[in-house]
Amino acid sequence: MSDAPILKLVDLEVVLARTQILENVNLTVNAELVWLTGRNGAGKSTLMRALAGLLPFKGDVEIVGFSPRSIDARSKFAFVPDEPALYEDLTLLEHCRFQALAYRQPQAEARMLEFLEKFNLENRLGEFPSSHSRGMRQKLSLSLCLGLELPLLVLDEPFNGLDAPAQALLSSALRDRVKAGHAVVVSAHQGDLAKTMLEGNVKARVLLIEDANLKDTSLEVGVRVETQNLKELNA
Amino acid sequence: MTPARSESATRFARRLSLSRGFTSWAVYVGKAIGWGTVLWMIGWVVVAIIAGAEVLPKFKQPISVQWLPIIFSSLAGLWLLLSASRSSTPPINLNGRDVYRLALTAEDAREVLDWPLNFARVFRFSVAFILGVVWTVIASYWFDIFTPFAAITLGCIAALTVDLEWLAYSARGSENTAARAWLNTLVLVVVVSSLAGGVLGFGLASGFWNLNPLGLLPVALLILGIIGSRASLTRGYPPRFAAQSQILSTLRSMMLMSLVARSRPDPDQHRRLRDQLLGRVSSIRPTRSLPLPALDSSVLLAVAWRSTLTLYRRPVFDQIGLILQLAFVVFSSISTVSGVGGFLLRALALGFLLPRLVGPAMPIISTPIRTSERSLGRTLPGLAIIGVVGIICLLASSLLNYPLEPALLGMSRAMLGLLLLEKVATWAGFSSTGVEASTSAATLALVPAALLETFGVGSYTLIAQFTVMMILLLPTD
Repeated sequence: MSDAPILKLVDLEVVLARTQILENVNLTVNAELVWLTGRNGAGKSTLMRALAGLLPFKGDVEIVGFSPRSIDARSKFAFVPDEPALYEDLTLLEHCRFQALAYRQPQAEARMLEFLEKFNLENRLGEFPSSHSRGMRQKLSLSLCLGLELPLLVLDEPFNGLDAPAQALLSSALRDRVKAGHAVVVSAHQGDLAKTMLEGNVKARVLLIEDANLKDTSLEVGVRVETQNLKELNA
Repeated sequence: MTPARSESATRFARRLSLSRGFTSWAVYVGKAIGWGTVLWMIGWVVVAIIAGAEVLPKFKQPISVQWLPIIFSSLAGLWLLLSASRSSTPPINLNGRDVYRLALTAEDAREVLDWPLNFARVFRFSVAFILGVVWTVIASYWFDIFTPFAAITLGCIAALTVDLEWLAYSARGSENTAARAWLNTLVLVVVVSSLAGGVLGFGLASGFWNLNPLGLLPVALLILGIIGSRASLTRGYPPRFAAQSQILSTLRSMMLMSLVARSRPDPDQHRRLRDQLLGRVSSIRPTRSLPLPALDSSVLLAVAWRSTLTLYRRPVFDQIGLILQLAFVVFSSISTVSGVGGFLLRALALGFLLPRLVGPAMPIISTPIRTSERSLGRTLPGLAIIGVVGIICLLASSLLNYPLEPALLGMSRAMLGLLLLEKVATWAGFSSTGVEASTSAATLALVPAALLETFGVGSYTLIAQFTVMMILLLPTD
């Protein structure tokens, strides 16, 4: 892997339908957890979609030194959108095999199946996700992402629709990823989950999107979500 | 807009959404086409119909009306009985909003379903009424009979199918005795009046050949049907109605969107929704599967496997239809129709075939799959099918002592068209099932043949088609 930061945004600007959604966003992410927060419509999903190369933007976005639209960058990160994006024609098991082959990581399939088992979906492997509930679809989407060994995971509202044990499992899995030297960018509103996740002694930051820009509010948000001093955790 | 004092929530919501919907539609049509143009077009359609009626050939001796009662009575009776046996899906549905906002509230089911039932009745009545008018014109010219009630008769029969379908649906698997009783009564009346029409010359469909106002029996039947449908709703909705409404709503949106986008709805998604609607096991788990590709397989093989899986899981009759369609395209080169007519015939046949052979789209674009891998993976199974069917066609040509070249030309043209479809859809951002992509691909696939034939070197067409195919197969990333 190169010495480049895992994720680097320089003067990122996103304008959609003549509306300035993001302006001069600068961010460098290394092996850490970045918790994105902000009001509805603040631009969290837009930022994530832009850095995944799914939206037009101005400025520079680099994923391990590559442009997000390049094949090199795409093999370095996985993106989980807020609405699970799945292949409705494939069963859960077929999803795992296809995803492992698409990312050229044969060993990832076993890990994906392990996550599906932890999410209690092991008996539903032969079913189509279209017949499943929102939470079950989200679990599949997350298993496909968590099974991959990639430097960067970008997860948009990943806790939505999950039951409490699944939320705990996801928090723990994301903390483990950061401890293993990977970067995780998560957007969510759940303050209690932020507390749980950021208490795990991982390098973390809480960023607030407000007025089309990013603000590092680790301390403020830390107080609001009643965690310990997050700046200390960051140190 | 506020509700009138005595107005129910359903009526208020319906009035509001309909008036707003109608206003936006009227504004849209006014801006997009212009109401003056619409009226002008309607005027010309009327003129065309009148002109068409005037050029209908008149026989010196009118055709005998002897068989009309039997034919029309049987057809009308059969149509209504078939409607009365359609119990798996409702003839109407509520959209997602109405299911939650109205059907799950304390609102009276009769009031909630009044609008969709009436809309379905009026729609079917209108279409059938126009056909009835056409029959009245034809009958006066060819059979020398005056049938002013044919349009109303046919309209009422068509509208009655809505109520018969609704009653059959309501009566199925539930304790809705009212629906069952009304359905049985109506079926009995339909059978008796249909037989009477056929045997006595007076009954269900006698408006088609009879001037007697008593031939308006379907009006009475329709009124009975409406009363029956309302009676069936006194106990609320049929058990599966809300769930099926949601799926029907999605299906109808898909059809509408494909109409607007000038494309065919995704056949596989459509099939999945139909399976879900009918509660088939195949909506939950596949009934047929292929072995998974090995874990050390390439990305190209993974994409090709997914495309093959989609084609393999289609219903058998769909697969047989595809092979027959493909055989027609391969043999269309033998067709004696030449010139512009031949070109259009081949383009049309190819345009209908190609979207059925291409693999499913890859909507998750953040996946690290190269364009060339995706492109080839989506087309490889289709190319293989064309190859196999092509070889069978070549063998058939050989057995029938036909020249082999036309079949070879047809086969390579289908392959070229498939590759072009994937490229056109990818480059232009069209859906591969869309009219734009399939028409462009089919037309482009015929260009080498058309050009070479124009310059008198048609014998090089096969080489030219294969050359273009090779160029398209070159990796572009």
